[in-house]
Amino acid sequence: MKHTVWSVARFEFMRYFKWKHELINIVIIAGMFIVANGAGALMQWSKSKESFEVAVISDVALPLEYGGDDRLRLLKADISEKEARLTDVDEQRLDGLLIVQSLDKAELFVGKEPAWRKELNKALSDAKLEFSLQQSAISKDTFEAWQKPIEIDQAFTANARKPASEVSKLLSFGLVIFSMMGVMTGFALFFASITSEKQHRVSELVVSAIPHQTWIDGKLLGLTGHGLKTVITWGIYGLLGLSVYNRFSGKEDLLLSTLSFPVVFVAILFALFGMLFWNAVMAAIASSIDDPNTSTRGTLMFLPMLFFMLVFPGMESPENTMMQVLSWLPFSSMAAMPIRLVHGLVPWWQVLGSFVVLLVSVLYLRRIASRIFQAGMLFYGKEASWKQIWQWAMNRA
Amino acid sequence: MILDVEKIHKQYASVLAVNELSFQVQESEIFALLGPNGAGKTSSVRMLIGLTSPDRGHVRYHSRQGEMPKITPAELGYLPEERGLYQDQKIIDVLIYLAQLRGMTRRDAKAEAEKWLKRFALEDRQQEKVSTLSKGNQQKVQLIASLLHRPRMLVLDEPFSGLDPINQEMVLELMRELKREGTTILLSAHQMALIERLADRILLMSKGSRVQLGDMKALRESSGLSLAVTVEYQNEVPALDNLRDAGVLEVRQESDSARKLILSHQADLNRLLSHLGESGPLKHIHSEAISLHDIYLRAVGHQPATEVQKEASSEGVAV
Repeated sequence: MKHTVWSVARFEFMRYFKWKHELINIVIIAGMFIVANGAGALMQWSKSKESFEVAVISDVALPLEYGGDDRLRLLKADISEKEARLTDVDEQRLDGLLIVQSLDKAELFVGKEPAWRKELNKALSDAKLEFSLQQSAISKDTFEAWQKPIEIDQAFTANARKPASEVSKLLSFGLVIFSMMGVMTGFALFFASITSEKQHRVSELVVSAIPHQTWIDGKLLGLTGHGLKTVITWGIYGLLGLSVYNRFSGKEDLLLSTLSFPVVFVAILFALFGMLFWNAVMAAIASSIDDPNTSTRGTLMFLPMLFFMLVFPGMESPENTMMQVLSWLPFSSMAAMPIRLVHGLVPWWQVLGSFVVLLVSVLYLRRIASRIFQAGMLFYGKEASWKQIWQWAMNRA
Repeated sequence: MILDVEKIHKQYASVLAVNELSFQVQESEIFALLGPNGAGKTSSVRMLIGLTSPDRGHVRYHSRQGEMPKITPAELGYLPEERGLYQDQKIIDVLIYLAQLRGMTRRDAKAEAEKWLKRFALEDRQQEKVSTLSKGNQQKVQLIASLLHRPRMLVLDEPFSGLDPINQEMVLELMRELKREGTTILLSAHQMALIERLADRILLMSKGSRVQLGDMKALRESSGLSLAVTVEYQNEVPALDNLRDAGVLEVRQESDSARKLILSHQADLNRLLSHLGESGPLKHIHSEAISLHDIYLRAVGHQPATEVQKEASSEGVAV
């Protein structure tokens, strides 16, 4: 019997696993990564090669830096040259003409939208500050010292509840997203697998050979395995991408250095059993659908989203009462408990207790799903009513 | 005996599908269920293989392990009426999977599948997806799936539907071969000419109940029918209203100028020929032993015959 469950699981997994698609995915991800990073670097390089010339006529003795070889080169001009310089701008021999009328007002003439406007603003602001400091006889160092904020050293007491760090928040967000991705993938696969078997009339052939429970157990293992594979694959892509990005950009790899393998292991365990839980729900729903093109039950695919939506706000404050409740419920513990774990404040007995609740729920639900599946898979011609599904689930039909 | 069915009964809401049906199937026998649409054949088959349970009655298999209510998957081969395969999978993978479900190892399943695909001239297409096959070829793959694990009992629901005459003959020969090798075959079908040539015993069903059971000889005897005589006239068919006293039970319209006369065992051929000779100029006359088709029409519901009867009556033909 065990042998048959694994035969079903293998077949169901391979039904949707294609080496060619996996390789194409890797190529696309690598391509996207290369293009995204390459385009940024290319943009920077291209920017560094650009240079713009702007003529400046100033009524105020602003200490602007003229000449030089910066990207934006300012050229000093006299008011008598105004018309000639305007012609230069119009005929694109110059990129702009700036007429500074006072410390608070200036006029800029351009032939097109200036890509160097930020640099010009900065040059003017720096010059204005320097001019003002000279007029007030205040040194630049003094001015900077005035502007410096008071440094506050924050320390937590022994039993303090530490707020989530940005890295932890990012990690929590990743866990919720990946768990959601796993559940949605599993849901979609179950929906496609079961409704196509019903539509293609394969059910009778299979249930004449194996018990319903064996079939659904094999399906749960195979398709959940596929969902988990998707989550792990995308998780690895994400982490590798981040690592490579940080290496090239010179940023510290905080996320990777914060990752704890026990936490990752427990998170994967919760994700696996959470997916088994939701997939058992989907198996029961899908087997009651006669025609997926006309059934409204397809919208139930979004049911798990409801619980994920409840978990999302909890990332800000993972130890609030609602997150504690959600981390015990089998509908949401796959996302809520790993988030709490990331912040490192969950007693071990809560992790174990929540996992046992999830495990027992999965074992019970797989029996219920099998009963609905047994009746639903051979129920052709019309969609089973909720009353019938309830009767099947309770074994009263 | 391999299968003993005792008074099985099945009702779906207000529809009585099977009513107190009893029969036995012997080892290495080809046993056919025959009946019009809605006669309860598929409902019976589903109960026999354990897909559904009878409301009342018993199904018992005499397996090598003793008497059991359900045959083991490895001993059973099943071709459902509702045909279906995994359309997006390779033919060979589907066959291996279905054989594994019936207890074969992957290696054995692959070897057997390749052998059977070769026999059905599909060996070059084993790596193709099922959806690329024609309906007839998919039917062959399904048939292979039902027998490649060498079942002790093969249950085939409408095995000939979707096959052209050449492939029908091939399947017919295959079933005879399986029977010779010891396989018991239970089938339901509409192709009566094929069933007549193939089945050892036939169970005629109507409205969920048994109407007649036996081999062709027994069916002929119990039907009370002996011969079918086809008469073709040179001109218009005359009113054949005086044939009952010659033992004609039924007159069926074959064409505008021909009629088929169904004769009872007590038919008086001399009187019949005399009546026919007097009725008008004959073009052709032909007699044959009563066929399963004729027995079926006579015994089960009379649906097509009723139409003929109505037509014949409107033409003033005696029935």
